[in-house]
Amino acid sequence: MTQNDKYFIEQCLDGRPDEFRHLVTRYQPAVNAYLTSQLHNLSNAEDAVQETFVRAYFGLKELKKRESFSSWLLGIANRVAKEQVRNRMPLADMEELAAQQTAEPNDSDDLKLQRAFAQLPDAYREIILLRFYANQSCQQIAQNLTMPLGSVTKTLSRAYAQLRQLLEQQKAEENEVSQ
Amino acid sequence: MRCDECREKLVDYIEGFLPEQEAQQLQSHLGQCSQCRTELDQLTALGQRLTSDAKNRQSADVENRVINRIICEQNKQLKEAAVKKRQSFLWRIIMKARITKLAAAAVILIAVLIGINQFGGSIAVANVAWSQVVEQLNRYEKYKCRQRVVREDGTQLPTMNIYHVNLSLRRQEVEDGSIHIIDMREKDAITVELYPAQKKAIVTKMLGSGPKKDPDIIDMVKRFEQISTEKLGTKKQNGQILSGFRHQPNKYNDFIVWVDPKTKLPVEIELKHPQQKQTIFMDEFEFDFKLDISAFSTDIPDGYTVETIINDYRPVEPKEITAEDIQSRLNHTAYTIKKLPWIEKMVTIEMIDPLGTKALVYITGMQSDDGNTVIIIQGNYYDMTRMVWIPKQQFVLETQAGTKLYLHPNSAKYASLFLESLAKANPEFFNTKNISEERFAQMIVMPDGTVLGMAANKTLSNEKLQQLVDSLTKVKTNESNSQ
Repeated sequence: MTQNDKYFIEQCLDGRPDEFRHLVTRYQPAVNAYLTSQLHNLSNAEDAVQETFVRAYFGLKELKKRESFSSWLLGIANRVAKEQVRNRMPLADMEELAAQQTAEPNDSDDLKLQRAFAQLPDAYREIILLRFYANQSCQQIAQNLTMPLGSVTKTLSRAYAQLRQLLEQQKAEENEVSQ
Repeated sequence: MRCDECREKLVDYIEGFLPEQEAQQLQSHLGQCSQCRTELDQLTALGQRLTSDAKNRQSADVENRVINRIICEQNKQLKEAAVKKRQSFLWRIIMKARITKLAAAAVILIAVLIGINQFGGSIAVANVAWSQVVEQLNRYEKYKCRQRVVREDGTQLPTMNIYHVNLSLRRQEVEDGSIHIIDMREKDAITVELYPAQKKAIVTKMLGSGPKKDPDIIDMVKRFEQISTEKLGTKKQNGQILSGFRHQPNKYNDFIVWVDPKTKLPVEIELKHPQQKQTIFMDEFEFDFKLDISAFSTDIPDGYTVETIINDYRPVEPKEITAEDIQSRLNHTAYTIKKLPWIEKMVTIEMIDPLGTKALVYITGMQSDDGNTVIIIQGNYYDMTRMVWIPKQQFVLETQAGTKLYLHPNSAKYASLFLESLAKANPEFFNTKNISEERFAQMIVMPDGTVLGMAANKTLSNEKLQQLVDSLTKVKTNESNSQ
């Protein structure tokens, strides 16, 4: 059984920064997925991922509810993304990203999924991030977001539906283009 | 169950939240309704697609970069904190970090590894035969053997015949036709590689690295204690009966020696290095071989082209150095040692770290009026951010000023390395013949986190230790340098 977030946070606060590694491992996919969906530029997203974790580490003392580390972390990622968008680059549109990506195809990247994911409303995106990218159970999500378990599964169900709809829409658009 | 009801409950079903009865109803509906089954399959597939996308985003690089940035940021904060005199909290953070521990572990490892070739251990089985082997071996200094190295990964290393005159002089005849002469009898050790086919010679001079005895495998075998050598029985090889012995001094070395019972001399030696995944085989032994001494000459035959490589291992010449000298070389606080009434003679020397780190260290040697020799060691890597292992060692004392002393984990070895280096650098100051069993080493941790090593040839009273530590005077701090 792996340790919970609270344990690692306490270790960090007790002066063991290397224990933060476990939290980075655990939440890196979620932070990465979130930031790619916001920044639409992979190299900027990588910087932003690091920045998010470093800020989180130095902000651990401020985190009151340690069980909610994941949603707190995504909040930091959100601020980092906004800053990057404001300070560094004009918002690149998804077509440009897609063009970039077709130039350098990477088999492991599910670009269609990423594009659909980027278009999800915040609430749905958050639940997908926590469930699949942070690998949390619905109970953990309910605890983190302070919402009833039933609402979590309902939101998840709607998030699924919307994600599927977005994916189908993409497919339809592609078919139109190719015809 | 109707289709809309079923679909509403699918996520709960996938997540395993459906009460048993409802789950059964849903399953029975799924059994009959192919559309709802497709719906379930699609949901599951989407979940898998998300999970696999998440996996693709995992990169170990990010973790390392984040931790590195945190450590860098903390170091920066630490410096600022030092100025503001609120160090203690951050020191605590950094010193507990595994990353800093690893860096320090490298330093301590060197000290630990040095002990490897000291064959100790004991298995309480009296074995007269082994002692006879050692007795026979000790009659010979000169021997010849064939040496092969077999690596588990299949890499071939050249087989060679080695002629050992003694531990400082040997000739290697390699299967590729080249000949190596290794002569470590003089102050400047020399190796000559002769390539007769190409009429080429490579001469490597190792200035200041000799005179040196290079312990070879036979030398190690000679030191096996009979009680720790296991008897393996016999084997027949080429019509000859051989007696086997096995000795495993540690996990790094596993020796098997096959001996001719008539001569009591080795016929075959196998040395397995499990960690390096290789085995060294030695056979075709000839003890007291006949080979003209000219075969060991490092003179280059006529007509050869010579390439010379010079490696300078000479210690930095001993010189009295002042506080300014040390301060100009150290990246952290440097200390001077006040001449106490019981100290008769002092010398400060810059030298290559005898622990093998290749760093420069600054040692202050002292002779006391009761014949003791004490050394204080300073160096760039002597600080608490690197030597985080220190607080785990045996605590010795703390002075009023807050300086703490800990026993070095490899106390005697550390002390002898520094005492030997002092003797080498300044033979008049200390003679290695006088090295004492009482020798010890301690680590001095100053309140600002600077570490100094201390080695003494003989026991030092706590009173003198205190006086010595109290006499350490700060020369400079990083801050005063950078500001």
